[in-house]
Amino acid sequence: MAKNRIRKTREDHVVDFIVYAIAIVVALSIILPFMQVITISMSPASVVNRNGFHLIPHEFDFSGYTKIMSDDNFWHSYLNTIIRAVLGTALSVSVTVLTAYPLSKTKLPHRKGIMLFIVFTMYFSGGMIPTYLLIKNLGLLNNFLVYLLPCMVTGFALIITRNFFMTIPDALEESAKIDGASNFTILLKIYLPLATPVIATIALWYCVQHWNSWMDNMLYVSDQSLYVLQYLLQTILNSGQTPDMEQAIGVVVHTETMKMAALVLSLIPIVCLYPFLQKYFIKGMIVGSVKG
Amino acid sequence: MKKLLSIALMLLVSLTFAFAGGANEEAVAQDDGPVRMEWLVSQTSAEVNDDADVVKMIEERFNIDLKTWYVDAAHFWENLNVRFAGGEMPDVLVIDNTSQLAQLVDGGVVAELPIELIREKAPNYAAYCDSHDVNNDLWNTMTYNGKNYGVANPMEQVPMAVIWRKDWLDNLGLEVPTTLEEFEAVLTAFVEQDPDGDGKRDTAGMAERTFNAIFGAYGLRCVTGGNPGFKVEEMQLGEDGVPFFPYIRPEAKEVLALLHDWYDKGLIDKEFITGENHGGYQWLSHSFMNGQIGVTCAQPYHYLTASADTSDPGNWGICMKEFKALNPDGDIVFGPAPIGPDGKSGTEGWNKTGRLTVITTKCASDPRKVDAFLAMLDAYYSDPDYARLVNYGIEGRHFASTEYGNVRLMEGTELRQEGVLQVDFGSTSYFAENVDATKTAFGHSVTGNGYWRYNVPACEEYSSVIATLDTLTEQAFFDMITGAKPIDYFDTFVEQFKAAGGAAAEQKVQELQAAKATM
Amino acid sequence: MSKDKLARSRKSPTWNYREHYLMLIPGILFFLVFCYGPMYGLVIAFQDFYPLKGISGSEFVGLKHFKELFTNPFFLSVLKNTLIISLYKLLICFPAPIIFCLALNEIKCHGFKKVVQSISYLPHFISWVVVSGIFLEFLSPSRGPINIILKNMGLEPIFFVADPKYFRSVLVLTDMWKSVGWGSIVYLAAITNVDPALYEAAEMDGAGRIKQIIHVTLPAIMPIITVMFIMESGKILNDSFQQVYNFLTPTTYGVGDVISTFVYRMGILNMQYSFTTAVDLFKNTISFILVILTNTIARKTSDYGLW
Repeated sequence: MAKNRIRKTREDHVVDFIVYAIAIVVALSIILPFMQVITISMSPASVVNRNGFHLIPHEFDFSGYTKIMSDDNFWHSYLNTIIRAVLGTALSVSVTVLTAYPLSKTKLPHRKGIMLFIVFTMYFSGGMIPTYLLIKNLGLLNNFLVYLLPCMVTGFALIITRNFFMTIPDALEESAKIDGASNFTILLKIYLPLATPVIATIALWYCVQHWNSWMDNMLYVSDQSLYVLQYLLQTILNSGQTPDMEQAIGVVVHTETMKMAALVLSLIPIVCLYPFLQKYFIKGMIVGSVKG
Repeated sequence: MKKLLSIALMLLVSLTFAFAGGANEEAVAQDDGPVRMEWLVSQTSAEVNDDADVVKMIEERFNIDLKTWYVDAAHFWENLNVRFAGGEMPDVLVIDNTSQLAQLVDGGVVAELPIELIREKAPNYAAYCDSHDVNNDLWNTMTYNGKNYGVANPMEQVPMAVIWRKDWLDNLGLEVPTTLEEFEAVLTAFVEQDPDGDGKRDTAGMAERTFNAIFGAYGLRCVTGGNPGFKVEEMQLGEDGVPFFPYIRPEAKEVLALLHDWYDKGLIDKEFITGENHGGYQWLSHSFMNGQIGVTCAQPYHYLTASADTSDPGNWGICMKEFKALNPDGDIVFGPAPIGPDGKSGTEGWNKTGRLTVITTKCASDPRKVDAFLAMLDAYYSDPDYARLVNYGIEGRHFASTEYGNVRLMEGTELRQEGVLQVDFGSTSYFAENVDATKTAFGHSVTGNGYWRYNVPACEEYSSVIATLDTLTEQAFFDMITGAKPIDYFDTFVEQFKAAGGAAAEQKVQELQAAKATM
Repeated sequence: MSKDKLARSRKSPTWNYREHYLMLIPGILFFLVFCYGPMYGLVIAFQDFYPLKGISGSEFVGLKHFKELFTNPFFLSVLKNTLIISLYKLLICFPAPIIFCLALNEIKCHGFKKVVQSISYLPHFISWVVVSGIFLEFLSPSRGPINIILKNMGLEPIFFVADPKYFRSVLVLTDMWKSVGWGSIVYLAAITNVDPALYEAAEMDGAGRIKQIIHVTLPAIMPIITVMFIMESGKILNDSFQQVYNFLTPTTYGVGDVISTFVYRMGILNMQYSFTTAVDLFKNTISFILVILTNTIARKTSDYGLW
């Protein structure tokens, strides 16, 4: 649309000024604290503990990285997280799509009831202890499945997907039905190709949810070979505060640089993957609600 | 829809069964094989490697299959309480203080451990306790409703030391102060006379870790903990043998008035609210290391291990090492706790009777486990080599025996992974006498009177109101120190404290204490 | 089943949708087991629950724990703090991603836009433990860049994190810092789908860029704004525990102590299972009522709704 215009009006300049100002303020306010994290991760401890700005490194020391990278547990949990993210996302997306499709049919009997049944769970939960009892009785303690099953579908992703499906014209489906296609075929052959953008979005959400979660690890998994990265990160980040009250062992636990190095390393895949994922949902999609 | 409904019903029914049938089926070990023992020593920093040599040595000695629990320190009780609710528990557990006992016993987690049984199966421990029972209450520390739960240990601990920036004192030509007035004069000089010589007025006197010494000058025990806050659960035992809450005493009002005055004058670092520690090992004081304040409190060995000589790096504790890395020319000196207007002085002491170790109902269900536990306890009181093994590990690998005493060779996390510090009973008097003599002797030489923790007899009245009282006290005290509320608010606070259950709790505890004394 | 009945049920709409119901099974099963399953445990809010006695063995005490909650000296101030902080967040953190996304959409320099966008997502991936650590340092009166600037301007440094006057602002702004970029994704996705012809038509009619934003872009994302708003309003009592917990100090209890931090101190740390559950139940009920309310209002006024 801009290319149609010959000359920028005054309004254009004002708008440009404002939008660039917003973008720059947001970007800067985020970059500065991050620069602090990165700088600390590659500075010697003596610099880190000194007062003053830590925005640009002037003395380099990568011992934090060496230390964390030589830790087998770190890589092991890294691998666990990747497996979890891949399997979990695949499972979550499949079930979400499978559930969203029937619910997008306005004529489906009991549709409203089922929707309410689902929405209710978004605001009502049994709480930590009953959930623990359930997980335990289902035999999911110290089981990799505990990462995949209890967080399989989120109401929000389901609603978004359903709403997207509702925008797909019925005509497409009708013609396929005349050709004798089953509902599964329609979902696979007609809906899915059209729904790539929304699938990309919910896949990203699920993936991030899996990448970031650690509470389930803390509560349900005590076997260290099953630890996920974020939980390990939590324990590394918090470990310094260990109140070894009576014990008060005479040794330093984790240094600040190592914590920050671990943090930077955990962010790398996200930063690398992001531009590729972005391509998908930038292409165009509609998410959101339509008249139901 | 019918199909749907029936599926739903079936599921609900099966779920209910899943809940109902949640009993814990433990594999019953054969009588001759090693019995499985699960220990949870307290908040630690790493999961133990089950094949570690130290673990193997302990297992062989007691014919057990040792499994230690690791619970994330940041969410310790949250995590643990969820597991307890699910019926999961270790066999042996260390609790923080006696206020937790009532809940744990009523909740069916902690099991009775009769004193006769302890005397029979752990004779060395019993004999040692009998001879080291300073306050004559060691054997009824763990009593609740007339029964004994777990064991308490006679502890040998050093009170907090007051640590000064010697280079600052020297720069200003000042001596280490002894009275509270001199103390204030030095702090004032630290603020006004530019002790670090950088031409800027950017230094304060002290922060929250020194509060305990100021309260001590008025005869009160004050525990601010790792993070700033006033811990109400730590009661004090009066000289007349009557326990009381120190924070509602009239003397506390005087202390608060003084602290507020100091805060106003800038003698107290304005950032005391967020604590002296900004991460890393919790006893590091970043405010002190970074030259923001000139005095702090810590255990002597955090700074120096065997003597007051600061020139010898072998003698440096962790905090001293970090301090020196940042201030190569800086120096420290230990000072006495300041003497208050009535001649009282002292610092916080952790406890004389501590490392409250209990056995769970799971452990009690198998007599072999109870026997193994008591054997482990007894060994800690009869075999210094064993005590050293579980505390320090293997010589040459985990620690070195030097002129400064035993020096650890690994950092905390690795040490924990190697199985060290997992089944010990802390720095008991026995341990201090036989293993850590140098460290203990030096610690006492640089500290004075300690205000020790009084182990509150377990009772419902007390444990149910502690959380409320904690919040109430912390909020009021911080408000009065910073001036958000006037000092006279103290009287209102005391009323609120008593009304919120503080009066009933104090009274019940005093009754129980009186009953104990006549026992 | 008789032939007659079978034929009748075959004609029923439910039977016609049998394939659809088949597809629903995994999803419904999931919700039933993992969401409704634990709700059975809510009964412990009405009991004196002791772990080893289990739900069936614990004694019923009626509304005891609710009474305990409502009579607690801190309850009113905690509830007030929760509501105020959530409302601030709803007022400021909710529109922020929308404005950010509208601004991004107006940026024509593609490379710059992408860089800003990618940067803005980063904070989403850091835990509150770290965020609070970063900001305690960043806002420190003695070392923080902001206070160093204030001091150079001859002003008194401000202890943002511990000063009751600023504490809520700190919570709101750090929340915005963490969520503005990630939150904008959903709107951005909706915007990119707007038919370019609409903009061209608007331009033909002589609409400037501001008018285009108001008349084309905003209406296009209105449905998703409505949905997001309904979802957010249900979360008014669901304060962010991780955030508040990591920033809270005793000086700010008066303005910053919220339901979850309160429950954490009172309940979870002290094995008060029933009390904790009672608070959860109270919170959940209010949240659900709020969602129903907002949804009804949204449907009445704009025709958009969650269901």
